[in-house]
Amino acid sequence: MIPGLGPIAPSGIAFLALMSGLVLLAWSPRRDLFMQALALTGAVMAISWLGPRDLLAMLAFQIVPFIVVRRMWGNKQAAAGQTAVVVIALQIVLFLIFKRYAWFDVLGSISLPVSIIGISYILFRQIHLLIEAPYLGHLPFSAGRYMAFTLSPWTLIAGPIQRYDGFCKGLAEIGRPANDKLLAALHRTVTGLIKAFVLAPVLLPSADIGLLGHPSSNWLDFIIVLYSYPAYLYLNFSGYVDVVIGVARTCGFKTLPENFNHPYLARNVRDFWTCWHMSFGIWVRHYVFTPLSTALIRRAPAQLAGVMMAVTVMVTFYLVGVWHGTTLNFVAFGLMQGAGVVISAFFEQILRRFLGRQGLQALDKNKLFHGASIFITLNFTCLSFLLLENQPADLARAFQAFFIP
Amino acid sequence: MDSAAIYEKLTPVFRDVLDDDALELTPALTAKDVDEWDSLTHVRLILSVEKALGIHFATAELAQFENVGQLADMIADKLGDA
Repeated sequence: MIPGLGPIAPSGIAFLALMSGLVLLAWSPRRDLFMQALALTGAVMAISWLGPRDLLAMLAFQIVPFIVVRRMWGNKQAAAGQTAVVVIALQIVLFLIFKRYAWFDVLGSISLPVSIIGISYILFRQIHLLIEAPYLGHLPFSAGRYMAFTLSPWTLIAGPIQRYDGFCKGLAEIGRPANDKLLAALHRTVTGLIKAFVLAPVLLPSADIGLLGHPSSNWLDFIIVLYSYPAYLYLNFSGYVDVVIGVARTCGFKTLPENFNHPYLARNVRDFWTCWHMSFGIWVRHYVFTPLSTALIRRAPAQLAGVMMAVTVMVTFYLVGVWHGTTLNFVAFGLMQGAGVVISAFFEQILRRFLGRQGLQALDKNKLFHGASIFITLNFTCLSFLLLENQPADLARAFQAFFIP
Repeated sequence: MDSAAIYEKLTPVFRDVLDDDALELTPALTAKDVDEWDSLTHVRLILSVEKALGIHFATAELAQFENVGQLADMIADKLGDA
C-alpha cells in the first residue's frame, strides 16, 4: 500500500492520472517505452492495493512460470512436456491458496492473509503461455514483456483475457489514433464510466432477494429483484471492460478482445456463453473443454461419446462456477449453467432428428420461437444469477413464498 | 499431401459433422460462418479430422487455429513431419 494514497480504482483521480500518463507516452516520440510503462503502471496499481506480504506472494506467483516459459520459448521439442504440466499444477495450487476458497483456506488456519488482485487473470495468461510457448517462438519474449502481459492495468481490473500474439500486435501499433478513432475510444471510455459508476450502482440495492421476505411483497417486487442483479452485473462488468478497451484504444492499442455481445439476447445457454465474458469463454474452451472432451471421447467406447461430452460440460461449468467465486453458491451457479448447456444441446438434437437441418433452420427463423427462446434463456440466466450473491436461506424463503402455494 | 488433397479429405468430414451437404470449405471459413459449428460440434470435428487423416492434435495446436485455412496448414505441417 502507498501511504497517503488509497487503492487505485477506475473511478478515482489516481487511475485517471496513470492512464493519462500512458496515453501521453503512447502519443510521444518515446512510445518505444510503452511496454515498460504498462508493466510499471500495473505494478503501481498492485502496490496501491497490496501489503508487503501480498507483493512477495505475487512475486512468487510470477517467477517460476516465467523461467519455464523462457526455457520452452519456440522449442517444439518441449511441447506437451511434463514440466509445463507440473508448473500449471503448482500455479493452480498457489491460486487456490491465495484466493482463499472456503473449502481450501490453508492460509486462514495460520493467520497469514494474502491477497493478489487480478490473480485469476494473471493465471489465465500464465497457463496460455505455458501451453503455447513452444509454438510462439516467432514472437519476442523477455522479462519486461512477460511483466507487461501479465500485469497490465487491464489484467488487474477486469480483463479481457488476451492471447500473447494479440498483445504483441497491440504493442507494435501503439501511437496516436486518427481523430475519428480517438473520438470513438474516448466515447467508449466515458460510456463505460457511466455504466459502471452511475447506472450499475442504482440497480444494486434492489437486487437483494432478502427484500422479498416482507409480507407485502408481490410479483412485481419479485420481477424487480430477479432482473436487477443481472442488469447490475452487465452494466458494472461491461462498463469496466469499456473503460479499459477505451483507454487502450486511446493509446493506439487496438487488439484487446471484446467481452460482451448482447448476452441477454442469447437464444440458448450455449449461445449465452459465446456472448457473455467472451474472452473467458474462449480461454475455457481452448484450455479446459476441448482438451478434456477430446481426451475422454478418445478413450471411451463410441456409443458413450454423448455421455462423455455431457460429463465434460458439467466438469467445465463446475470449474467456471469455482472461478467466479469462493463459496458454494458459485459451484451451484456453475452446475446450473452446465445443466442448461446439456439440456439445450439435447433439446436441439431432438428437434434436428424430427425436423432435419432445414426444418430446424426454419424454426429458428420463426419470430415466435426465436422470441420464446430468448425469453426462456434470459429468465434461466437471471434465476441462476440469483444464486451468486444471495444466502441459501433467503433464496429458499423467497421461492417458498412465490412458487409453493 | 498438398493443400487440394487436404481440402478434399476435410470437406466430407465437415459436411458430415455440420450436417450440411452443400458446405464449401474455404481457407477463411470460421465457426462464426456456420450456425451448427459451436463448441460441442468443434470437438466432434477435431476428432473426426484426426480419424480421417490419422493424425493427433496437441492442446496447444488446437488453441491456435481460427479458420479452416490454419487447420489445413497445421495438417500439412503434421503430415510433412510424419
